[in-house]
This record gives sequence, structure tokens and C-alpha cells, in this order.
Amino acid sequence: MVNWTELYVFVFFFLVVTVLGFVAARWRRGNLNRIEEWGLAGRRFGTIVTWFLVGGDFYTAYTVIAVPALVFGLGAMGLFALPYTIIVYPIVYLTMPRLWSVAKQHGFVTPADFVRGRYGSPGLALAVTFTGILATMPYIALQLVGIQVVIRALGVIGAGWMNDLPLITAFVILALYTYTSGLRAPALIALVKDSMIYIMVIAAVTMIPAALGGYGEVFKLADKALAAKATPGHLILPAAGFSAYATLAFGSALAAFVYPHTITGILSSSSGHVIKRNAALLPAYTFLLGLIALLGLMALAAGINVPTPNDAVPQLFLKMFPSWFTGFCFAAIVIGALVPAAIMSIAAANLFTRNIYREYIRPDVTQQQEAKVAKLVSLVVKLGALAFVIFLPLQYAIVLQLLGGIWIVETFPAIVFGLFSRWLHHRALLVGWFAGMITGTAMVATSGFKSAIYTLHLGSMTIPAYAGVYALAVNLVVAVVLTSIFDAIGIKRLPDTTQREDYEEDTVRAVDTELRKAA
Amino acid sequence: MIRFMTRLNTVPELSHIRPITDSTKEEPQKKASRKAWHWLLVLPFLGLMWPPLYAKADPVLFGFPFFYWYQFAWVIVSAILTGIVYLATRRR
Repeated sequence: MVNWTELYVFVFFFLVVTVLGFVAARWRRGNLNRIEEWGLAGRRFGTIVTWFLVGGDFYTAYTVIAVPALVFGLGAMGLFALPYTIIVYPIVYLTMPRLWSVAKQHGFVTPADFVRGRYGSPGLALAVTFTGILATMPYIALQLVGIQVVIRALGVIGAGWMNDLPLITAFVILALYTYTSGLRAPALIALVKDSMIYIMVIAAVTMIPAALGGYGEVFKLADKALAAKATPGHLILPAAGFSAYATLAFGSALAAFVYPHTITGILSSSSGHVIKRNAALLPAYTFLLGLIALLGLMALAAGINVPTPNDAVPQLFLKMFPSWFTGFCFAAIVIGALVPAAIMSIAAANLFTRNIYREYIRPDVTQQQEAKVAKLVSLVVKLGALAFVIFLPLQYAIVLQLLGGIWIVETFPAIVFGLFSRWLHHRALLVGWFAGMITGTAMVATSGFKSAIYTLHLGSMTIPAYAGVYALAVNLVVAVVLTSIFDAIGIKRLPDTTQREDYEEDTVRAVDTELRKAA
Repeated sequence: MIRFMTRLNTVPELSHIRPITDSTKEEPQKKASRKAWHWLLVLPFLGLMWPPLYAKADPVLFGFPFFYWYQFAWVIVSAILTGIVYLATRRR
């Protein structure tokens, strides 16, 4: 059953951003035949564009669907997204300006470029590349799931393969403008998308509770609904959930800015100062995310009954909003999926091109060929994600994304510790990474690939915690112990192409480049 | 408009153009006292990484149980702390 008003509004906004996506190629014009221009938009985005871009990149459509779905299903535990996206910014503030500075100085485009330059080790760089691509692919697939949920709610249902036609159309359009415009497309679209999401959330968190009798009532009704579930949820976090809640928040925060797509957002900014200002300004999105999480409680309070929690928010909108506004909200969610999907595919393409193609296949590649390869790979990556969603059960993408978070955090020591010190031996980091990958995967396997929470038994104590944090601990212990051993037996360290002052933007050379730029 | 704002953003960076020796010559004491501001960034971790501190229903504020409004409050507090650290450590 299709509501035409809803569909018209939805299609209108989708067309607007499609035009924007293609127009973006001319925005802040640069030579799109260079990977730094196509894949990083020339590192020229100021505070405001970076705010929209990283906001649109980090708070994905999947988040808009999955966080309230988690709260809808479990209650308080789902709110870990809030402390997670609070503590992530002090970490960003302290680490990312250093990464930006050294990347600018040496022309690094990907995190693996940095690791290659810092440790001189192709093996370690390959591990970072491999993990980055592996963790990003299912993440792109999940953005598609966000689109699917909305299309389902719009009532557009065809027979057989026609069923997937709207999704395929949306994705082909996305693939084309990412190909032509590179990172400029999602950056420009993010301006529209984020404005729409803000309007959607502000309307939702004022109008829906008003209709339900105020926030006090929402919490009371949600509490009852949670308690009545087959496996009861909790409005207030119970003691049994403390360690899981804190480690999920902590581990996710460590993982957040070693994902290739978030680093792409960081590196496209115009200075370390832009990143620092954004560390203070981006929490506006965190506040928004907290409000979005509350939508899960509102759906409970409104008595929404859905077979899959992912449908809770779309159904809530259908029930509470006039149809034109529902169309607007659905468009916001779908566009909200396109922005991160574009950035993720660009990030994966940059990784492949710089750290596999240039490193192993064609070391003598020209700049123009490099950009060409990156563009083509961005298409392949998106088609892969599309095929993944259409041909494989949804559960696969969800499990892989869950594992992806655990895997990507294993690259944290090489990337982030590397920004401050080179004490850890590159071989030790590599073995530590491997140990962490195995440990994390094995821990999730013990739950039949259903949960990222692993319960550790220490004597009489049982500590349930995020497997990513346990795996990172194993990774670090291995890396530290082996570093001492490797240095003691004299396994050679490889040359570091970076210098101490490359990491501090406020040093002579950075001023020097500013001077040249201003001239 | 956006282009103009970006221009503005680059101005503080230009403001510390000075003789080449300057950044290496800054007194270590001054540098250390600037770095001390970074300790403010530890506070959000202390406030949030120990859930027993806030996993309770009371006191309720505007209908929000404590568990909820406490964490929302930290969003604002940590943003302000980060802003303070930025302003205090920026070289003028």
C-alpha cells in the first residue's frame, strides 16, 4: 500500500541530492585526476564543511535505525552509544590533529600510508589495509539495509527482483556521482542531509512525547513495555550490565576514528585547528544521537509492535506524523545512508589503490592512473556491497559489521600509538594485531556469532565485556612483550620517514606552508 | 558564504607566522603549563566509564530519569571542556 504524498516528497528530496551529487564536481574545483583531489577533496575543508562531513560520515543511517532499535529491544543497554560518542571526542582532539599534520607533510592519503611511512614495514601496512577494507565492506552493506527498511515502510513492494529495484536505482545513482565527483559529492550532500536529520529529530522529540503525554509518561510506559517483554529489558541499567556498557562505549570510541572512512573525513580538513574545533562542535550530533535513541523508548510507549526492531522507528513515524512529513523523514534517512556509503567506498578505494595497487601491482603508477584506479574500485566496492545485501541473508552483514568493529580496533596500536612513539617494534605490532584478530573473532564465535559481549571467567569472578576490548588487551600485551624480546635479540628496525616536528602543526614547516598558500 | 568562512578559519593560523626560530625557542615552562590543560579531557572518562555512578532512576529532571539526563548533561559538559582546552592551548 503506497501513500502517494509520502512518496512524492521522498522522491523530490532524493532528486535534489542527486543533482547536488553531480554538481559537486565543480565545487571548489580541483584536478579530479589526482587521488588527493578525488579522494580527499584536496584537504581544503574548513570548520563548517568538516563538521557536516564528519557528522554525516560518523552518525550513519544505520545508526539512526539501529540505535533506537537496540533501545527498543533492550532498553538502557542500547544507550551505550551516548557515552561512546562523548568520549570519542577527547580521543579525536588528542590524536587526529597529529595524524592530519604528518599526513599533510608527507602526502599520506590513508592510515596505511602513515603506518608504511612510520614503521617502514610493508607487512604492517598491509595488515592495516586488509583490516580497513574488511571492516568497511559490511558497513557499506548495512547502509543499504537502512535504505531497505525505509523502502519497505514506504510500501513499495514489487515481485521477485523488482523488489530490489528501488535499492538498486538509488545505489547506481550514488555510484555514478561518487565516481565523477569523489569526496566533494558526499560533502555537499551532507549539508542537506544533516539539516534534514536535525529537522526530523527536533520535530520527533517535541511532537511525539507531546502526543503521548510528556516525557515522564514516555519513560513510564516504556518501562512497563520493557518489563513485559519475553526477555525483559530495563529502563535503568542493571548492575549485571555495567561492565558490558562501559567497555562497549570505550572500545567503540577507540575503534571509531581508526575506521578508514572517518580518517578520510579527518584528512580532508584544512588544518589540525579545524579538527580541534570540530572535537568541540561535533558533540552536537551526539546530543542528536541521544535523542534518536529515545525514539526507541517512544516507540515502546506508543505501543509499536514490529517483528524486527529495525522497523520500530519507521513505524513510529508512520503512526505519529502526517504523510508529507513522514516522506521527508524517510528521505532524510535514505540520504543519510548515501553520504557514509559514498565516503566508505572512497576510503576503501583509496586503501586499495595506495596500499595494494601502488605497493604491489604497479609501483610506477602515475598520479592520473592512480585516480582512475581509485574511481573504478569505488564502483566495484559499491557493487560488491549491493550484491552482498541482495544475495546473502541480512544476518551476515550484521555479524560482519559487529566483527568489523572488533577487527578495526586491532589497528589502533599501530596507527594511534604510532603517532606518539615508535617504541613498539613493527613485527611485534604485526603479531599483536594477528593475536587480537584471532582472539576477538574466537570470542564472538563462542556466542554463535550473535553477541559482541564475551564473559571472561577469572577464578570465581565473571566479567562480561566487549570482545573488542579483550582482544585489544591481548594485542597490546603481545606487542609489548614481543617488542622487548625482538629488540633484545636484535631484530632490525626499519627506517622511519617521518620526523618529530611533522606531527606538530604549529611548527616551522606548517607555518611555512601556510605562508606559501596565502601568497 | 562557506568559502568566506573557510577563509576566516585560516586567519588564526596565519596569526602565528613569526621568525623561524620562534617555535623552538618557546620556554619549556610555558609549554608545560599549556599542556597541563589537556588533563581536562580526562574528566568525561571519569564521569562516564563507571556506570554504578549514574545507573539510577532518581533524581528525575523534566521527566527524565537520572540515568538519562546525567549522560545528556555530559555531552554538553565535555564539549565545553574541549572548547576550553582548545582556546587555552592555542598559541596567540
